[in-house]
Amino acid sequence: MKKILNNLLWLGIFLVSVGINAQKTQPLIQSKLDGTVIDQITNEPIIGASINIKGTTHSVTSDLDGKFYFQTGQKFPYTLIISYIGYKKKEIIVDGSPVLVKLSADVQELTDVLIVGYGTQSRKSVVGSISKIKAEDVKQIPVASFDAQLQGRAPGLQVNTFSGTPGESVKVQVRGTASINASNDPLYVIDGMMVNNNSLATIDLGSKKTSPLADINPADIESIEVLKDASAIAIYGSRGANGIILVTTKRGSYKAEKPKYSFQIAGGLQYADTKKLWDLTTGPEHATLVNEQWINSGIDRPSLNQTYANRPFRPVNEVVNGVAGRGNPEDQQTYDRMERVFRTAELKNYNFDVQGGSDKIRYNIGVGYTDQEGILKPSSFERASGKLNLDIKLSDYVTFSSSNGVYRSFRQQVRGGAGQQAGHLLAALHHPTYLPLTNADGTPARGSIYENIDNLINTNITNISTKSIRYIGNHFLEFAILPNLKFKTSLGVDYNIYDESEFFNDQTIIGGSPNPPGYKKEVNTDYSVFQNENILSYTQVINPKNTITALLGGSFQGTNVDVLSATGQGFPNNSFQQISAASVRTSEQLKSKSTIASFFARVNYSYDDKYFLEGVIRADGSSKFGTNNRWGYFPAIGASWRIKQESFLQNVKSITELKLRLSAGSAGNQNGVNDYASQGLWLGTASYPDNLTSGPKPGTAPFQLENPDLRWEKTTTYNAGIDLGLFDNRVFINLDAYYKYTTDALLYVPIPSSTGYGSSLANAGEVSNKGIEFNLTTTNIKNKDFEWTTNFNISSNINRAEKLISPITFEAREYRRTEVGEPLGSFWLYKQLYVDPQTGDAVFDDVDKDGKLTQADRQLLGNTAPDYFGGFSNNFTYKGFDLNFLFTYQYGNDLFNFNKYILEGGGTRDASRSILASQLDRWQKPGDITNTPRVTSVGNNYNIEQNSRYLEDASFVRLKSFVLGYTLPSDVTRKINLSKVRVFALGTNLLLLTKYSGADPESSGSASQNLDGLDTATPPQPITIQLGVNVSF
Amino acid sequence: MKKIFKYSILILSISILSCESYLDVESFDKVSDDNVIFDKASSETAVRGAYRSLASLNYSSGFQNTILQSGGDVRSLNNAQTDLNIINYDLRSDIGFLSTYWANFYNTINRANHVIQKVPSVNDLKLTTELRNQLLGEAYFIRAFSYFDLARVYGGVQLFLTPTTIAADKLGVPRSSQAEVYAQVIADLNLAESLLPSTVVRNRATKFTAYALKARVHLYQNKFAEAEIDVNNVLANSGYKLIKPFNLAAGTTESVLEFSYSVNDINSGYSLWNTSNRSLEPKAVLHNLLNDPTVGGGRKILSVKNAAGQFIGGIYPTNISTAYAIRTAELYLIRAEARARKTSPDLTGALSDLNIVRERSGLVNSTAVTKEEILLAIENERRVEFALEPDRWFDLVRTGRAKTVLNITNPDKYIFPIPAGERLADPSLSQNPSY
Repeated sequence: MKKILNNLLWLGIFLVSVGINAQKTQPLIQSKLDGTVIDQITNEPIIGASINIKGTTHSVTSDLDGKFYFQTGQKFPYTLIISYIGYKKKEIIVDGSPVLVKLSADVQELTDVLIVGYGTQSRKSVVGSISKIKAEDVKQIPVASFDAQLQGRAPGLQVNTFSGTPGESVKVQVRGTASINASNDPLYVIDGMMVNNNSLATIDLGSKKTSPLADINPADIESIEVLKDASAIAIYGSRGANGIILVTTKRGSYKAEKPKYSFQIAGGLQYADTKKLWDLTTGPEHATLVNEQWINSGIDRPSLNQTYANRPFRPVNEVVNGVAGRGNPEDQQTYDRMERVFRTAELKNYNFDVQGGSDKIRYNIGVGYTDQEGILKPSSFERASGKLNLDIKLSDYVTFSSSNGVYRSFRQQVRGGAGQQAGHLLAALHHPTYLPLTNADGTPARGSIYENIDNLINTNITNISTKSIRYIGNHFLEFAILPNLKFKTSLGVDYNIYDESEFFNDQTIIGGSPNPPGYKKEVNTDYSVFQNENILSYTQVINPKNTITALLGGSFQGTNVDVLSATGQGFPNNSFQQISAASVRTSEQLKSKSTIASFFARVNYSYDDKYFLEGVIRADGSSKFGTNNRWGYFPAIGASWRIKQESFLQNVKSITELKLRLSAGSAGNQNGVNDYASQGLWLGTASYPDNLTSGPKPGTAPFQLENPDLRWEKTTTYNAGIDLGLFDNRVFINLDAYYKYTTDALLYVPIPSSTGYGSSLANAGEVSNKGIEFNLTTTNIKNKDFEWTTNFNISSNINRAEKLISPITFEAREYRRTEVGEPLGSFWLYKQLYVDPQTGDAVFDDVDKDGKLTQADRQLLGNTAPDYFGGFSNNFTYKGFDLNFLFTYQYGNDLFNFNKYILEGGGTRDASRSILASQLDRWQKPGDITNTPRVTSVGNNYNIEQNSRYLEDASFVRLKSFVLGYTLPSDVTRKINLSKVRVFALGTNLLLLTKYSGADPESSGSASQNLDGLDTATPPQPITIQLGVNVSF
Repeated sequence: MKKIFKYSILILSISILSCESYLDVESFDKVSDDNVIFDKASSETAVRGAYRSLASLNYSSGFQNTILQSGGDVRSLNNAQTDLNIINYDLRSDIGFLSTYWANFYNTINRANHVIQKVPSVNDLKLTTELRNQLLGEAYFIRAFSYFDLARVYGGVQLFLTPTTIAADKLGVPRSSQAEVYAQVIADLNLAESLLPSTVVRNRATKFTAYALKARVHLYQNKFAEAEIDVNNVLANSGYKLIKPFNLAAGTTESVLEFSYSVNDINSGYSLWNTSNRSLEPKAVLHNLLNDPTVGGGRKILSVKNAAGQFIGGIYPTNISTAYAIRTAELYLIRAEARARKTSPDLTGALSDLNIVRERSGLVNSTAVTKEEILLAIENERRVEFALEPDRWFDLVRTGRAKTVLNITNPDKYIFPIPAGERLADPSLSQNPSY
């Protein structure tokens, strides 16, 4: 059948050619021309391109090898016009044979094919809001996971990297925050398989998480589509409320040709911008501040009995209450721990790819290896990957397709953010600078509550690592039942074995005395998702103007997770590191399962390439919800109108495309909700002895209140969009406006803990998001040798909690709070108005005017969501050279500088923490104008945890990437039997403009939803310089 | 081709039919709410769960840490902002630890309430009357213990005597006064006393443990005659004696109630004093008292100066060390105080009890003579005897001496604020004055 179709196609092309040819009279042959049309980038032949001699009606079409031939009455030189859908029309002057024509892909890709849920659509017929990102543009940015590469690339897609540690999780949000406790992550679909993007990390990483998407090699990716509005996401129903990121990996082509090989080798260095790293006080400065605080506090509260005489930093021989002095401030030394933990890190990246096929089979095989050191010793990320994509036409009616990726990633880890024990930057940044690194006997010193930094950077002493082995595959059988009716069945697997290991030897806090010597923990997580989908699709061309396509399907997905962990303490000595050698051994298991069953249908109708209609419905059942409300139904409709096709615009030459899109519909969410959320449960982990000699005996305790009414969270989205192409599409604009309204938001409703339960999950909130997305692509200059294109995108989203039972606070210190009428998770703080120049005391906004500072005085003072964000990129090509740079930006987002809160504590933290140099700006005498109050432990100057003084504007502009490449002339490469050689240099994060006083305005100590936005002990994103070469043959 | 079509329709329809059972997924390691206390074994496990809560949640490191700091003799090495709030007696309702242990106490109470409600109707021949009474008595004791701590930390709180089945159960119930809560505690202890066996089990409640806790509560209620009788009831049993030298090891006759821990349920108090990463240390003044041979005596082991000159608290040597909830020494000191303060004071008896405790630590008899002197001597004895147990703060507050000793000018600060989060979840809950 495929053959028939092929023949028909060729017949059509032939008829068109004949039709054109029929008009001409037999010419005199003046010249003969042989030519080949190829793709400028891939050098692949372009089949079916139309070649016309300008000023004549003489046209030919390129053949299977991209070749064409003219016999014409025209004399050289003459002009050829070469055009092909999806490519920019090209005119060249020929003065002899043969000629090689290179076509470059059309920037606007109007006729581009977009991947949509369960199928593809041409861009012109799409009614939804979909952004396409070509992997080629982004994948050189040296971060482990592809999601981190997407910052600034698509309107409405907000991407933030919380830390400079490779392989850590990334925050990705499509069109704002719709959910409060259910996950806000988009759904990731790779070649039709819905993959896991929740970190499997269970060991203590200091509130950080690893990114499961880092398993996937970005080099395998062909394109990424971001599905944003209702009509685009509704086909994924329950899964799509937070947007969908569709990833398509590279496939071969059904063309009988020799395999194409390509290599990429790149290597580079990364380092932290030392100018942006924290500036700490010296030992003497630290001591001075502590003494000053000591004496001031004594004045403020005499009962503290703190005077000059018993100040902490006094001569050693002044013994008070049996305690010797620590020496005068000027006698203190300064020890730099930051230089011990930060490093210039290396990164290496190798990829090899072979692509090919025949008329029955096509394949793509990719092998990749990445080794990336973190700037924080000893963190690193290493990944080896293998990819095999295969399509086989088993018969005229049956096609088998298979996508397979096997990945192994290894992470040497650090406890990056919060958490006292073994926190890397806590041990370095937060360690008082006056405290020595070693004891008098040469052993590592531990002066404060933190680990000695040298114990953490040596993997013989502290070793935290994770190995992930993962297979992602999806296998399809497609049956062409009738020419226009297809049945497709698939089996997909996402299988991940995730092994974590941590070891602390007997000189660390965790593994040292008085604990039993040595600590070792191993966690083995076995995570699997199985997915079966069955789809019937139907296309009917009623007449040339009316086309209808329909799709009907079912999807079943089961997720199993099994976590087994074992811990050993008390090892004979540090050489023994197997848990069996430990004297105390404990183990734990966590097993869980969830299932989803779904049915869906979609109908598309188009009329005359002008009007497009789409209707979608999906029904989902989830095992997580109560039997009363297990099923959710999610419909959507969409329409688009290509106004340009109307007669009144046909003659307006400056407008090349004008399309209006409208859609409305709903989608559901259940992600991030635990597997048995609706059941009333008791736990078995509450053992207690019956008497002193019985040893622990099993015990039970209530764990969770029953909630049989728990149901799907539902988000309804309205979208209106315009696509406008001007001047031959040299200017192209996409503008989308949307309104999203979430009802039945899943959230942990605070219930009085006097019930015995902290909170209960309920459908108890409503949230709205509205926003505008603007995307502008222009071709500024385009001539034979030089081309300059620009992309600018900006998005704005306004987020509001519309309905709640009561305000909800997050984080142990309740830094963030959601109130009706305000953005979700706003910072909830005491507002410091100023420091009184006379007294040096911080003056706070007394909201309720009761003269006291109580919880009622806290206000919502900003949030982590930016007012505007986006990207600005420019691409220049000049002969063989190419230059591309991308700026990304966010404006109006706030970040709580938690490091500053801890380290600008007015000396009250004494020997437990270091002090930032900015503390020296404190108020000292009447008349001092400063924002940093007088140092004292009494009163509100330094006793307010949630002080607005530490909340900062974290707007930024970042030069995310800068690439300079040079492609060797093809006549040179051909001589050495290569088809393409490109060398490139790449820099990332070369420039960062921000008012934020910490190391990085995107940092967050915690990677958890609702808990991010506090910058704690997190390494900044590094500056990277990389050199590389691509070779294809 | 028609076959393929038929098969595809078949696959689709089979999937539709089978999917309801596909969506029924049971938990692997948690049991459903409906069927948790139904026979002898499940009744026993539920009671153990309540004890675990008492040992690991009520007596959490946060509770010990903040109460010890409030007592003024122990200082935090973290120097966190909240530590400043504690030592300046300037708490705000939105400080995290307040809601942590509020929730912990009520969690334990809910566990006990489940037992109290469900165990009486369990139909199992193996559940003998003695065992049923014992389990119920233990649950009443655990509830009493938790409410007592709630009331001495927060003042009057809401009284809930049934388990929670839906969240709305507990909304809008007004706070009882502190006196009413104490009265409920006594009522529970009277029931416990009548139900519990007269055996000596040191890590679970028995009749003697109920007497001991009653003695403590009566002291807080200023019911001194009752307190004295309660103590007599315990000390009449030879299983409760002071041991010499001073030592807080598990399972001695010193122990009236101790909490047990294991490698799986570690003593969280260990993290406070763990020598490699401790977060508390005895202040120099306390260290000096403990190490003064005329004051601390044998109790000097509670604070040791290490080579670096730091004061190391010596209470939980390992993370499975036992934690004392009620000690024989406390009973002597309760009786001493009760005898001195009862309507017709028995100063000789009071001094004798005090001296028994002093003698154990190798000290000479107290020189106190008058009632006031004796009471001050008892207060000072408690200061060193319970130096690292969360006692002194409550002691000074109970006797009203906090004003003089700790310079707290506003007596409203004797009780902590009701956690802000609780008032958010139940707006009818009133706040304590001055917060």
